[in-house]
Amino acid sequence: MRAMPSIKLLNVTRTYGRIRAIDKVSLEIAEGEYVCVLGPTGAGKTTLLRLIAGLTTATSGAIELDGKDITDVPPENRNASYVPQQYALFPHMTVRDNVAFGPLARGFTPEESLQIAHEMLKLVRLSHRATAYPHELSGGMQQRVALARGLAGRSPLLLLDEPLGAIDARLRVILRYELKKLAKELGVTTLHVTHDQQEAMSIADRIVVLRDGAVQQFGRPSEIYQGPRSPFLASFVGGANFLEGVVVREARDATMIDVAEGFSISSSRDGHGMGDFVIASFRQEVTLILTNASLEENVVPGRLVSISILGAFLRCVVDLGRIGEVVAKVSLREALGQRLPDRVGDVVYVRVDRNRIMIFDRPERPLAVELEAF
Amino acid sequence: MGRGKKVGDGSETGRPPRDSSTSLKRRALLFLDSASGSRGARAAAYTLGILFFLIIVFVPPVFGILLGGSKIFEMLSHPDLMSRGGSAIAASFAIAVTVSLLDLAAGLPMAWFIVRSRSGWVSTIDTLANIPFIVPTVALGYSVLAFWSGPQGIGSLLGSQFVFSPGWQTIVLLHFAFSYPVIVRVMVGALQGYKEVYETAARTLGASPLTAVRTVSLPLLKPALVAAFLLAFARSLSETGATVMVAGAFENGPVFIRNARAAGEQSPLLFVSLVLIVTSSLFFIAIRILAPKMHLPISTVRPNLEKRLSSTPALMSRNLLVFLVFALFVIVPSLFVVLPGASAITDGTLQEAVASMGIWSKYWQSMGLSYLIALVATCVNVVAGLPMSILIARRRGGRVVSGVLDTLINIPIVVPSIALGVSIGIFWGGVAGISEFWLLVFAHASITYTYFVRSMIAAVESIPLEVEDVARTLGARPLMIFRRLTIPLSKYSLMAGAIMAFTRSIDETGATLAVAKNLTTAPVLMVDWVKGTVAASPHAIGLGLGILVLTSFVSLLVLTITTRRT
Amino acid sequence: MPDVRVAGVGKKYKDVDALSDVSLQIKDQEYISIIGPSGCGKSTLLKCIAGIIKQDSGQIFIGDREVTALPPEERQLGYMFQEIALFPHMSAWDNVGYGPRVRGKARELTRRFVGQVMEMTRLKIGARTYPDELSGGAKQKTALARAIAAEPQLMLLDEPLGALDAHVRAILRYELRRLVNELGLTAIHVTHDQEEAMSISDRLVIMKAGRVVEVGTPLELYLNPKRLFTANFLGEANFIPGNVENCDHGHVTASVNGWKIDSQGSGFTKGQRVVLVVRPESVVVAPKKQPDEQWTGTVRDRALLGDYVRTEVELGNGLHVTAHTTNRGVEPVSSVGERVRVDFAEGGLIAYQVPAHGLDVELALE
Repeated sequence: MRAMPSIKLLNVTRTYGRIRAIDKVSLEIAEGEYVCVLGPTGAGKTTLLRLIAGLTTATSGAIELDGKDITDVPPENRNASYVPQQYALFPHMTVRDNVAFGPLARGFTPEESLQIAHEMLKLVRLSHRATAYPHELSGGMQQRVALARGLAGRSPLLLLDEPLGAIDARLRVILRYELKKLAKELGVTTLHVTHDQQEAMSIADRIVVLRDGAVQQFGRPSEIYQGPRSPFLASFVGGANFLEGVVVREARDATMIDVAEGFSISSSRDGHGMGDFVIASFRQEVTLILTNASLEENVVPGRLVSISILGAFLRCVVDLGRIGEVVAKVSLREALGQRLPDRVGDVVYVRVDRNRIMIFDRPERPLAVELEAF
Repeated sequence: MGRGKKVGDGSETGRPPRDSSTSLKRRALLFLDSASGSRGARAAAYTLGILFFLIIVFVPPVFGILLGGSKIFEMLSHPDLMSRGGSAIAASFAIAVTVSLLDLAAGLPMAWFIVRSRSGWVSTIDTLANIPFIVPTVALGYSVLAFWSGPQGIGSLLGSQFVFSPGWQTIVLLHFAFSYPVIVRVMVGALQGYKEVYETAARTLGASPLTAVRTVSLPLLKPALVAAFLLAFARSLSETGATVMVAGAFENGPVFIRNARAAGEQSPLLFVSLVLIVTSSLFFIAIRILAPKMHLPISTVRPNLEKRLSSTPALMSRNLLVFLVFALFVIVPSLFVVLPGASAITDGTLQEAVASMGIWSKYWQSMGLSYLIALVATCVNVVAGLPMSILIARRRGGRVVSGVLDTLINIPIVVPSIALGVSIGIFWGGVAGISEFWLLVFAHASITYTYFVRSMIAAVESIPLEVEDVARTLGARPLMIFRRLTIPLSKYSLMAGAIMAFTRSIDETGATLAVAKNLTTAPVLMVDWVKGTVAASPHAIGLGLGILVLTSFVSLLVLTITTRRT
Repeated sequence: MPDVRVAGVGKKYKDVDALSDVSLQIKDQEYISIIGPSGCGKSTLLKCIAGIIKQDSGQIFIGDREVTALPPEERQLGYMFQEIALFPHMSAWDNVGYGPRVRGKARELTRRFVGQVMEMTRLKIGARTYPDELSGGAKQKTALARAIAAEPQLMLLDEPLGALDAHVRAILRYELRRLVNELGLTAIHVTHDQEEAMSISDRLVIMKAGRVVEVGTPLELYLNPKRLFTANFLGEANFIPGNVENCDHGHVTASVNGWKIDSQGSGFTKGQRVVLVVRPESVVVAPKKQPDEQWTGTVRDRALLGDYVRTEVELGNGLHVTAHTTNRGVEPVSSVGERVRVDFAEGGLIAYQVPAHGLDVELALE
């Protein structure tokens, strides 16, 4: 039985002139893992994939597949299957011949290759379109052909570059689960590049967040969501509210932060000292809106500026005066119960549980730049 | 960790074990495929491609002339020859620039019509616009001569004041006609690839169609406009056979050289050839460098005027004018050769031709020679040109090397073919044992190389890199990618490039005139017939040219059929 | 700013009906989104309204003017393209100034006007910056500024955020709405992203296969869609086929694979086949209390999606349901393999007729 490779990157760097597309990245991915590479455009995600595929060579550092150093091995000998963003199906070949190409290239006879192709097409439920040409298929079907082709090559490693990028929003939500299921069924190690954090959160075993060529955080979705290591991560993965302030009191399991001339909020986190400049951050769905004043801690009065409907949630923007603006995500049910749509313009109160307030050091660059806000 | 089911097994690198039952053919292919994986093997193929280009295609035509030595400069001591030569060269450039600009002005609206119009006439007009391509230039030359200078041409339609006696005017009319389809084809291709969304955006912002085209589309199409201009320019500068037919006593560069050769004057021949080679190369490189920096006037705005010019009546009158020019200056003159050709069928000339009597035996000999040379030259170019195409299209030698090569491969078509032939003749003349036949093949290969290579480069560049990337990661070695992806995906351009090279070779007169002493190709023979060097009746000329047109037409038909089926 | 009226517009490409008898009324200063799967005709409709495509039949009115035969440059529009389409050979400032310039505005006046528009759209771009030097979001904002600078009466947006990253899209869409509001424009926004459409539109137009399926406010369409396709398209939903046991006073009791359930609905007869629709956020998952109850099953998948937990349950009667539970920081109730009970929030289930062409065709998203 052939062993599945693990992927190891050791301080890999790739430069183009003065631009560092990939900056000293070190990673270890276990056999059979489904890892999403997440980040904004230009973060280096595609470059990372191409480095592992061998289509781009590293400027420095080493890459190991299954314990063997393959840094200088050309792509055709690496056994890592690459599926680019636009699928790049061979337009002059039928679906079946597209899928049979991999086995053929690896030395299987034409008969064997067709046999393998048929099995793969059955797996992706496209047997009935085996003799069609790529341009005759819908986007979702083309994606499945691209997958089947990538998997038919018997590669134990699958590299997907924005596989759902060309698919409608609604369809994406359905297809991403199918993608994960297929990969797991075949036991392939998968690297899935995306800029959509919801996509990554929903199907990844672990997520690598890249920015400007460097790894920001690498962990399970829940780890990154509940414990982001920087304001950028808090904002990029899941979105959050940010308040700048100064620590005015600190004790074990409690920190008080002054966010605007005398007004403070309390967090159950610690680790920062008196006088430190910090950013207090909390998720939108734990930003509660109350219609009546309350004496509990962390309650701020404000004005309900606007409401947007997101389906199951309502996005409510509340102006807290000197403190700033915050966004609250309220479930549709609750919002209708509180009659929030009728309260636009009214005074409301915002409350955040102390256990849900994260504290970050204030970054060197201004916060807006740090978060790449527009 | 759930491994899931797997669909088979494979070795460490994913390749299945080989057994003795694999056939010989498969084993050979597998061997070649893996050999292509080695960098050394590929480098060797590219190096051979570059060497062929340099030794056969580039160096002899451009530098061979220098072997003429001091004889070149003897002419400097003859002032009357110098002034004659100087005016001939100046005339070549003046005519080429004028004709190219006129063709741009007339051909651009035509290309626009072909690509954008929804009328049912489009495919007919598109086919008609190709006619000057199909008609070999010697036939075109005679046709233009007959139409504009002959008694039965325009004179009989509109009166004798419109008749031009052979001279620079007929040269301009001839060059206008045969460069027209070049402009149209290049601009049609560019327009088809042009993203109309920019023009649409301009219109949603309030720009009238004319303003949108002038301020947005044309600037974005500038590279294509420049390319079209240069191609038309090169054709006009280079053409020899037909120009000789219509020039009368006037001399442009190629005509001067031909006359010098006929009179046996070596120095003028060499000198003017050298000057033409140098000036045309420099001109080409200068335009290539300067063109991106040139700006079309787009900042001035005249909204009301342009809105009126965009109106339907203005559009219709513009189209009418374009079609009129097309009909009168391109189509009719091109097809005029049909008349004498048709008469030849009825008056017995045809039987003479078929029976190979008199002048006709030489005719069939020369036809055979023309086709043989074209076939050999084309095959040689296809084989040697493929590695070069890939080298340039995929920048295998690095950006600088590929860029330089990309410019250099254009030089043989920019240099006037007769000058090229003179240079080649001198270069190989020193080498003993090269027969005249092979000299002609080299000359033709040199001239037609670019047509094939450029077509292949465009085709390879249009294959998305990702397609090759995917194939590599699936385990395909370079040769397999070439066999199963590159060739099938560029089949059309490969055939088109080969046919273009083939027909260009059949057409070729300039270099042949310079190189050949004993052998005669078909078009050269036709020039002799028309100029009276060999006695032939107008009907015989018409028939001879007509057969040439017909065979050319058949080759192009073959192209259309074979490429359509794919 | 005018209202817009589309009456009976049709467009055929070869033998396919890209648009079939489409009629719409859009009020002055309304922000409308036209949404639907790829190929539903939404872009075609927008282009007909813009005059970029000529429709085969029907009329289009902007204000009280019939513009059916007018070319785009005379319809006073602002159009945003999916490909962004900034002119690559002009600087960003010249791009924005293009509209005023082609209408004959003097150079200096245009420059000052462009400055104002750039400020309004909060763009900080140098005068010598070219489009290829800009980020995706900046490019799109420049395209917006360019459309606004042409002083349109109607804004048409064709998947304006399609070329952008997910997190940029989620921010920029509110900017779009803010600007359109500030300028008091009427806007028609085409997108395949229903969340984008719902979050910023006054009303939604849902299209499928060249026809208008439903029109309404986001809340109306989300809570009470008239068509099953709308329910599936506007957000996730569970579709449970069953048979009517009893129906009166707006309540329906249905039998689903042997189990009973109550839902909203009226006008059904006993024995009729129905489809019960319930949104995942209205499905409550709780630990199983007694053995062999109805509406119990096993957890097949569970994932934290950030602000909610998604749980997939396979019920004892063979059905699969998906539940979304808000992430309150408390550890989720269930883990894979656990036996659980499934409840439905009050008013969360609505009964629908089974469509004549079949449920799968109705729900199809491509």
